[in-house]
Amino acid sequence: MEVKDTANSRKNREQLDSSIQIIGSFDSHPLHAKILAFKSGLAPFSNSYQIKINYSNNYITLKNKKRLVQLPLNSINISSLLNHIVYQRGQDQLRFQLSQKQDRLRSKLHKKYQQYQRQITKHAETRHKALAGSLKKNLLFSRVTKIQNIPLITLDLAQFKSFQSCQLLIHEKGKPVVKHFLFDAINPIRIGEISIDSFNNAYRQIKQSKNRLFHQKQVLTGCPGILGTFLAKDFNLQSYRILFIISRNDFLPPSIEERDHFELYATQLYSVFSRILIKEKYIDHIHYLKIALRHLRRPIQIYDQYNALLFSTPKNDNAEFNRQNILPLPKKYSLLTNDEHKDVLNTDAYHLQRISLLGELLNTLRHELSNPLFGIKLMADLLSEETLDQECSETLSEISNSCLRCQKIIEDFSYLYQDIEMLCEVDIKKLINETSTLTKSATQQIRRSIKFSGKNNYIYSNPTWISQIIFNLILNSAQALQANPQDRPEIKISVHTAKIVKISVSDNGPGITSNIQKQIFKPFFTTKLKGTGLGLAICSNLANKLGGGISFSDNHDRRGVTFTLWFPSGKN
Amino acid sequence: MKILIIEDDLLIQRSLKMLLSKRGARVTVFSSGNEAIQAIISTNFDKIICDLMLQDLSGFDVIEEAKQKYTLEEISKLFVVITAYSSNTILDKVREYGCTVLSKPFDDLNQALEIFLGRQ
Repeated sequence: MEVKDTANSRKNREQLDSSIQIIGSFDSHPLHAKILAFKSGLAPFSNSYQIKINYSNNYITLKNKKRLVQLPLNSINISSLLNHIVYQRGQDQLRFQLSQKQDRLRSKLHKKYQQYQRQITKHAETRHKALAGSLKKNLLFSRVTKIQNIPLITLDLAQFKSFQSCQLLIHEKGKPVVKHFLFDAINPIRIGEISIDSFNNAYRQIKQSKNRLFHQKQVLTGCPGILGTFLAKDFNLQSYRILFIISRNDFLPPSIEERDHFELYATQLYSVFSRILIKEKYIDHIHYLKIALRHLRRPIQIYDQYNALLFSTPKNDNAEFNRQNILPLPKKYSLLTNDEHKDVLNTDAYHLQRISLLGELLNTLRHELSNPLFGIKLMADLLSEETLDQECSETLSEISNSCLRCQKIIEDFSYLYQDIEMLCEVDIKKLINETSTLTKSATQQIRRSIKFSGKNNYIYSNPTWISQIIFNLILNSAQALQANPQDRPEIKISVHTAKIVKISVSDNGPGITSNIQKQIFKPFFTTKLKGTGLGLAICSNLANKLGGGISFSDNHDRRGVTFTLWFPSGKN
Repeated sequence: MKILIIEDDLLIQRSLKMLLSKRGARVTVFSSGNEAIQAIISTNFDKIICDLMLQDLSGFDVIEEAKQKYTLEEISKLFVVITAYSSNTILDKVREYGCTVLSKPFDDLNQALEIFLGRQ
């Protein structure tokens, strides 16, 4: 399996668009399918996945021939991944203990198997054939934990005592090499590789043979270790093809009894293969997931029940861990992580707070101003009619008009802050014009221009949010221009209405340096002394709520940047 | 026609009084809710124009007190509420009493005056 870790080189690491590509083959199995494939809705048993982790957006992307799926790297998804690591850890520990004993076991195995053999033959002779059968089963199923032990075990069995060599050829589907395990009298176990062509030839020959009787002349090409007469069986598993061959160095064809024994044994082997191979695959799979996780910027630590650290991603000093008992981690383990997404939720709450405060303020203001203005206008109109003095009448008329203007302003701005979550028909021209007017005082010495293009003036969306975002963008530009005084500061707003509405706010200010470009949308990131760092984070969130987003780009040939808000017009 | 206006903005008070007097009504004005309530109990008015936001009480309190003298049906015909609020919650509350509600500033002044004079 290849693992290409492109983020390894430091240069790549510093690239702004950092993502890891792990190209590997994750054969499906209900267990790992559960990790990613089931969650993503991909059918299990699909072939290989390409996994890409984009941690500027905190997403895992799964891509195979048929589909592309994105999973957010939130704590729930990560914990599912890690759950299996933790589970496997337990299994690994067991395995580790086992393998340590293996060497000692090896010599004991011989004796034990021989013991079992005697028992089996004894029971077979008597009436306890079933017992003999189950003993045989136990032999296979409980003792075998590694593929390479199978040849050894096989040759130890009484029914195969005349055979001298046993080998396994295992081909993982989709791979260009075939693993070869050979056990014979000379070598305890020899592990090698053969080419896939050789394997294919052998496989085909064996599969096509009807009576399983092979001519001694039929030498399996490319298959080392076949001494003379051989018995062979092919296995076709989900993700593997296996050839199991036992042979002896003579020319006597195997007896019918021998063939029957072999058939029976091979059938039993099938489930053993499945179990072992898949487990081994699983270990590899977890291994790659660990690599993936290690490169996550999100800090993660897993502790077991004794508070021993099982797994951790590279340390981030600024990370504050909050202990979380995230299901479905097994109970005894605890996962510590730093939930970045909390900040996103916070900006939402913060924004709502600001908006409702503003809304209340506006309401109060409106109410307080309405009354006096109403009185003034009423009286001015009245007196204007009553008076006989022409000049007086005209003056009062003008007073009345001024009041009307004030009332209209209040009415217009109330339109912007009606109901926070509401979608309605919006006159986009009017909205942008008004929003721009709101920024008058902040953009005092800056030239503002608005350009409209596109078909409709009316869209169906949320006027409050649109106004908020554009207002914020204009303000940002204005602040940048004022902090860096220059000739002819300018803010250009252009609105294009189509199925997707695009509103751009462009300035000719100092621009945004490339090293902070990726951070500007992050909550609490600011370059201003008194900034909260929430403006763009909130805008980005609102843009998402509108069903769109905010992007920005450098004005290449000129100074400054352009921020573009885009969202669906809600109209067909 | 006897009309009572309960409104604490003096300019509005004066203008409305002038407008309605010109059309032949006899207008009494009060800025204070408490004083107005006493007047309501002691006198029989044909129309009561009441602002919701008063200095001492709210328009709702006045209406509640008027229940001592009038039935709910009479109240719905007697009172006209004028207010600068446009929030739905408040308007709904007023509608519970069944009275006519007018938002300040009036969309149509003449229509408002007709309502005050009981002609609509």
